[in-house]
Amino acid sequence: MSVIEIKNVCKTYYMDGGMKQNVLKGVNLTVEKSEFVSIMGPSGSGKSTFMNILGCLDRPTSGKYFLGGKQVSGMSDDELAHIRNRMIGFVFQGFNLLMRRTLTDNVALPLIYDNRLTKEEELARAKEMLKLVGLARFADRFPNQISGGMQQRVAIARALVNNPEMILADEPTGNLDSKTSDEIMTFFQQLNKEQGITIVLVTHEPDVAQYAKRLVRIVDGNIEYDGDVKTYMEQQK
Amino acid sequence: MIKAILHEACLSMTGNKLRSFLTTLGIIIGVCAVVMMVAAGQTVQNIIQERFVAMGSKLLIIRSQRLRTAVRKSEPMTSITLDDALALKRLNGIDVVAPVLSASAQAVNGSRNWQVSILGTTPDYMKTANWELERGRMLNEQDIRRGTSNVVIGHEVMTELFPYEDALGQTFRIKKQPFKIVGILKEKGSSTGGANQDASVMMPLKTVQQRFNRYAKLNAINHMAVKFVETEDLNIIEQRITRFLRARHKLGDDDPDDFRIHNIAEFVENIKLIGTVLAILLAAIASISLVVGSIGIVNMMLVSVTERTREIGIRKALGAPNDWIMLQFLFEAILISMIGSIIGLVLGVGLSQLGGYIYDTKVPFSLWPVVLSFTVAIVVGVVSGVFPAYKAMKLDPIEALRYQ
Repeated sequence: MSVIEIKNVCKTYYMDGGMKQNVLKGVNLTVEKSEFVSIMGPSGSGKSTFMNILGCLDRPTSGKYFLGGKQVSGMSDDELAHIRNRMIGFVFQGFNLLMRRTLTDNVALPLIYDNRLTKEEELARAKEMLKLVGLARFADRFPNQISGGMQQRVAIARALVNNPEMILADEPTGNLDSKTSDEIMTFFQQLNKEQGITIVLVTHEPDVAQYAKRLVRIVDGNIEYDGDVKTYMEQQK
Repeated sequence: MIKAILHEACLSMTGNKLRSFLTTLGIIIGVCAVVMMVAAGQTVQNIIQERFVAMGSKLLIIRSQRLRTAVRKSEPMTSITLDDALALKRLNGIDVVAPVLSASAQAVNGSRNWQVSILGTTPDYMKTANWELERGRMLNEQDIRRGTSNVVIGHEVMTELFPYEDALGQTFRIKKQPFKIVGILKEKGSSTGGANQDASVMMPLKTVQQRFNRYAKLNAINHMAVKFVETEDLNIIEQRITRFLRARHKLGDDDPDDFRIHNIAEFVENIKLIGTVLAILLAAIASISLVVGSIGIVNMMLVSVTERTREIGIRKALGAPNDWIMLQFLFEAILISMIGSIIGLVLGVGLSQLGGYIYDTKVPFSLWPVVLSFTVAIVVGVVSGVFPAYKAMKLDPIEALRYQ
């Protein structure tokens, strides 16, 4: 079963004064389990809008979106919140950790929104995830006490804490130096290979995109390229 | 879920201690002021009650009611007599009757003089008026029977006539007649109804009759203070006295009363009412600061929503439902006002008790400020939290995540 199945998704914005802007013009995409996909595209291409729809933060104007076999395109705000909580692990460019909370509390944050675990279980699970990203000994530190690369690893731990269908990473290395970028991307690769986690990575840097196997390039609201990363890179040379 | 939201609200609050404290401060001051003002109002009421009720609630003053214009010049101005007083004493339910014959005169000691009120009465008067002796002795039965020139004087009379020497045992003159001081009353300050104690010269009734009053043979008195027993009802005793005196004065069914019964209970009720109004007024003024405090919470929560836009975005992206976000902010506002109320309450009670200690007054502790402040806390919390919480809930996660 596919993790993501997007059929003919369009997104249209209506400007003040009646102007219409078609940002996505009938996009089709299928992502299978354990795939590692990079989504690239120049700014203004509709890449961000596409990512918001993928992340269930926004709804398509038309078309269908199945996530883990569930149709999410017609859901209410709270239903979408539930889907985001259970099925998607977000990793953002700016890490987006809560500054006044410990790393453990940060990682446990998605767990408090679904009532399956007790507080102790939540914290135990969060610590387990911190261990996975190699930050167990910083469990009681605050985000501003650790480096950017570490913060991003905390964010990855947070994304994984609810056993999501996929990780959606939006420019995860944008705020990091190249060496740390490398580390983070290698970690993503490792997660994908060893644990079979589906990863969708949105970036504008070809170097980062190369860590994936498959590349989807969006230009002007359409998918312009969908295929192997290496093939695309070679074409560009 | 509620428990989890509360936990998050607590963490958010303790996360920014200074801001939370400053916001709480508004509520602390507000509640503290209300509690203290209520306590102050109640203390005033209690003092009034103690001063008046102790002496007054079982006390009646019976005065003559004959109009000046209705009498011929040779008749006395007063219709009640010493005999009335003596007879009344035997009436059922009456405890003490103190007949009073008063006059105003100049008291003289050498070159010093002072305007005093002469109070011709019996030692029983002390029981009705709550007067206390400072030094010396009270007038005794012998003084009363014989009409001696022994007197008990008020504090002011003592200081004015004998500023440099011990007044006790000294002699001074009123209308050229000598009087000997056997007792001095405690200073009481301005009087509350009845004679000014500090400017009084108290002497046997018979002495006043014989030396100052033209109508001595008529046995007339100005008024009498009547104290009735605890168990009697005020209205019943008034009716009983009225019937008794009308019969004694041989008044026909159509004749108006030739005396008037004043009861202090009514007066005390009025004073108590003033105390209540005062207490409400004080509380109302103090509530203004509570209102200001709650506006502070609204302000803080609104700032907090803006400041934490990104946090709200993160929470929403990670799957927080709308009501979760809303309740978290609402609970924060309620928690802050609750904590403020508790601290304000403790502080208010503590400070008012301290004030009572300093001024040596008993400050009552009542439950209703407690109930009030908790009600206020929840109402203020909800009212000041709803709007910011709604704003937080309505934030679009995409916009909120983009917010720097």
